[in-house]
Amino acid sequence: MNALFPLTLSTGLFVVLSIALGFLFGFFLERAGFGSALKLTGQFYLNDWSVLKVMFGAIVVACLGLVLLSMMGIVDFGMIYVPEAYYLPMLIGGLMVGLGFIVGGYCPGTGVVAASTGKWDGLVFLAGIVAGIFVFGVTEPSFHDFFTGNSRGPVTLSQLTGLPSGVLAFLLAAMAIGAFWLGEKVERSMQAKKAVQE
Amino acid sequence: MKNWEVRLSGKTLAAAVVLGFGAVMALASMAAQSNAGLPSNPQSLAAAIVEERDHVQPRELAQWILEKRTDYQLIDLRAAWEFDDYHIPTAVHIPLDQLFADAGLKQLERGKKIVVYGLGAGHPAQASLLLTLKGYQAYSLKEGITAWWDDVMTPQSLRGEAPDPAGYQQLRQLRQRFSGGPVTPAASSGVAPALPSMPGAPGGGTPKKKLKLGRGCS
Amino acid sequence: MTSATIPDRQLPLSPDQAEAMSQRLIKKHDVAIILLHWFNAVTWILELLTGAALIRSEHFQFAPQWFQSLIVGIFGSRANLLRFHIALGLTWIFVFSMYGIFGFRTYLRRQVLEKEIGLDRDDFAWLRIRTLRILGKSSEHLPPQGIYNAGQKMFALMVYAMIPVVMLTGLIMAFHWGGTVLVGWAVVFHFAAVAVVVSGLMIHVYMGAVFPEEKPAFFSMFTGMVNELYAYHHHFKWWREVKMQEQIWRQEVATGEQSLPISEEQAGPVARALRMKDYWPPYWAAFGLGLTLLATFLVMGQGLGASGGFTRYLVWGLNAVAPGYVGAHPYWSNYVGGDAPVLMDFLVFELLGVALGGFVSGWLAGRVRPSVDKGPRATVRTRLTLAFVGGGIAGFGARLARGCTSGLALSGGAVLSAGAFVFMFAVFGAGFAGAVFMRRIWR
Repeated sequence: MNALFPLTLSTGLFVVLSIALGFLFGFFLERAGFGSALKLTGQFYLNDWSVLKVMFGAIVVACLGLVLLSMMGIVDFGMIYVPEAYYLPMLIGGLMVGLGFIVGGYCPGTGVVAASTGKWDGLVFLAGIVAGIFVFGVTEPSFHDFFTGNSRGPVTLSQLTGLPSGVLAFLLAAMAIGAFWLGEKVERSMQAKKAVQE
Repeated sequence: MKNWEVRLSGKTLAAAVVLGFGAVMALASMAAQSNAGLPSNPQSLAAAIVEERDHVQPRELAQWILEKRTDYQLIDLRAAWEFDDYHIPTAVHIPLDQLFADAGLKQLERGKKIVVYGLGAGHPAQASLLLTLKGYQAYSLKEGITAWWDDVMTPQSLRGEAPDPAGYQQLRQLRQRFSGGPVTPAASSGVAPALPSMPGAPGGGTPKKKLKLGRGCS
Repeated sequence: MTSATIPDRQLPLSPDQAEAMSQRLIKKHDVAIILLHWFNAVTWILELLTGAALIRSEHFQFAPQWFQSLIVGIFGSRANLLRFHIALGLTWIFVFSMYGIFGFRTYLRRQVLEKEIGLDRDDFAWLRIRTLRILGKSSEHLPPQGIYNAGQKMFALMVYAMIPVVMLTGLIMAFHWGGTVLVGWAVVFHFAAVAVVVSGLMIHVYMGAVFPEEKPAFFSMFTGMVNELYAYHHHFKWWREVKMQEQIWRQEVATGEQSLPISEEQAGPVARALRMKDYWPPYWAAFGLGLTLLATFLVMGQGLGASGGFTRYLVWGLNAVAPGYVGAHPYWSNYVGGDAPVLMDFLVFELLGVALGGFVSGWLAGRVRPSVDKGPRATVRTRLTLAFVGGGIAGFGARLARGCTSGLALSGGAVLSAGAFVFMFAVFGAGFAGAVFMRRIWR
């Protein structure tokens, strides 16, 4: 393989770079205001679409970048980890993470950012996460077959649709821009409604 | 200069740049996909076959599996009982007579290398040829699953060759990775040699499926 | 200097005036320029060291054998050394492209179009007189200079000319564009351009770090400021411009016209963005996060995440107090007993970085303080209880889905994983549905 990336790293460099990448992750999350549960949950009340913009936007940027770099041969895409598709566990797990989001106010990543900027509710949320993971581990043997069964392998949208990744990346970008535009319209109308009420 | 800047808002400009970039990517990837794999005209294909460019060596495949690559699909063309008995890790079972039915084709991805294998070399070679003509990037595992046994699973020393240092390291890695767990082929298959028990092979004889800890958040 | 009289040529100063001026500071460099300069310096040092070690031809061996062995030893192999050299070069090219594209209006235009580095009559005279003075053949006074003197301008022009050559030839060499002949000539020009820059660099570094009179200039590359006396003596025309601006500003203030304090105005966009008290516009964060995600894929072969790291911390803790229980348990035992310790995983260290990054960002914006985020109608106790419960549900769900919004949605989405999109729809669906019942807490 004459691709440059992904890299194979010595242990020391691995640790340093992991922390550095995490630093950037936390930095941008906090800059966007995602250390605040009020801002995050605003998405689910339709008056602050930042969560969608940041998530979807980041996915599109990274996806386009990966497509470009793998076509240029700089990235060996075969070595990039693609999650396996356990559809039913991911569906149910997703519902639970979403529920945890609106009840608790955070998700695991943003919870760390909240805790690091002094939010007690963020810290308590993180404690809850650890408790939840513990409960999961203890009870997992009773639904082990459901949890580990029926993986469809690393299924990508490219496989499901038959379209090459570049085309999908473009469609994703177009959908994202459409969603952002829609979101801003809704934001403005919610703001107008609020102004009328006051 | 001022008016032009004001009219074209930053957001519109950014959206236009992203869409333009995405469109270029889309077109480029469509072009790349149609050029990937072996040529489908008979003369070039014949030349490729002579140069063995339609084959994947068992060691190469073992390396892909070790690296947990995601850019290939491994298809087992044999009968269902043979697949259940033993199959190469990461293989998916699609018998040859169902490969070109709707259900079979749906599982194949055009963007990935399709590697087919069977007991020997005949059926897989024909299958890979048919797939190539249909536009897939198809290859066959050279000499089928028997070569997999010989090259990857069986220790080199049993075949009487002097192990070379570099190859030895890779072999150790491959053996450790692929010999974890009960893997004796059924006696009735007859072709593959019985696997000698490996000292220190990891994994107990737990009948439960072990959790595959991938990278990422799992 | 009274505000009424700004001299149009250098006049001798009284000791008191000189003393007063040496205490006052003027801003010379933006935060962005400072960062860019040091990024450039570090990159050039590393690239020169690794580049020197890479040259192996018999005729043109540049560095002695022991040096090559030392550098190659650090990286493990020549292949790794080359990968590093190329990767750093690509990063450098990327950063400068961003500077060129996004910084053009604020920085480059001033330098290029408004002639911060253009040469005028005073500059040519300066070059002539300076050379003669070094040779001891003249003791004429140097003509007044702008923000950069003629020598600095020459260096800048030379660097601006050579940098595209280095970048382009580097790309040709790294990716073998154009075939053997082109790559061969690229090698020649790459070295030639680097040699030209290095010759100028030696003077640049000497002038900055060693030459005593330029000490204020050296420190300005850290603080961004120089004292007025230095500016008056060495860059009179620039000093004059700054003073006239100040005068205009004082008049505006005196007549009651509101304008931003000078420090805010002088702060460039990068400094303003970092010190911003408000939240960033979400698209900026999206872009930054997307690039971080991309970088993670490039370096680690996987994306960002969170819940996997928590799991490992938990297992590590459990293992510390009850290793027998962990070893025998069908779920926990998956994380221990392999050839790597349970904590040697990307996510474990990444989470540490997330905490650090979140803290630094919050601290820069003045947002770090103990508080509880909640709606006006909820009590703190309710909120904290629900935070714990919500965390529990989220933790369980994240393990069930084998990922959370960062690990599965963001990273899985970027590689177009089907499971990730199923997960994302479920998250948003549950969030919207649950919002109806949680109104009392948030609104």
